[in-house]
Amino acid sequence: MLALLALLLFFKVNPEGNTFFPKCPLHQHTGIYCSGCGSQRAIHDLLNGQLMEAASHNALLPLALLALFQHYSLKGMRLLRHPKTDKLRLWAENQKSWLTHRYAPLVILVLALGFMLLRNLPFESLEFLRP
Amino acid sequence: METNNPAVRPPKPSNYLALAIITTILCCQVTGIVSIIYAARVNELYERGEYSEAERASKNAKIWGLVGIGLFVVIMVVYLAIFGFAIFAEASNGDFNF
Repeated sequence: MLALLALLLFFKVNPEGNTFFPKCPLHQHTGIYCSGCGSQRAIHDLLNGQLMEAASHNALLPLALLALFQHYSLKGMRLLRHPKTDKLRLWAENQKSWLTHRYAPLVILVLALGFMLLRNLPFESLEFLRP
Repeated sequence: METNNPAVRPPKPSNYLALAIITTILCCQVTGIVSIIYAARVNELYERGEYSEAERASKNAKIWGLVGIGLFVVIMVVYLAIFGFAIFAEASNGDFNF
């Protein structure tokens, strides 16, 4: 219920230019962009179907959501117990979630920290990574 | 004595990677990163056959992930307590266009 309300809020209201959305305390106090900066705006854009806009606010967020979606939809399909959905369940059981890959945590760690580093480097050409 | 024999391998403990990602996105970069590091440790230790160590890393990954979610909830509650009125005021001004 709360989650639905939150989604509706993010769908309707653009965090850009609205004062009441929580701001990142890290950015406010240090000026550093962490790898989560821009994700509220990106969620707003995604809910309105604007993938490129979302990626311009936070390039990692669509990727992260895709991985989470894959992980949880496979998990969900494996829980199906109806005979009619057996095929789907069997298929899901044979698929591997990307997140269970042996090096998945390392890849994600490098992505998150690398992204954070890159968007804080003072180069003009990296502007597209900043929220 | 632990052994590398695959026949006696205990099931792999969860590394709670999804939880760590959610925590990192939602709010708490720091606890999220710590949780991801523990997730990586779970995989490494398990592959090396150090199962009880892997189990411990798994617990830590879970704790740090949940701490992040908990922090998010606390922050949201405090935030709404402080700015809730402002949000409703803006809503009644018609800025929401529901």
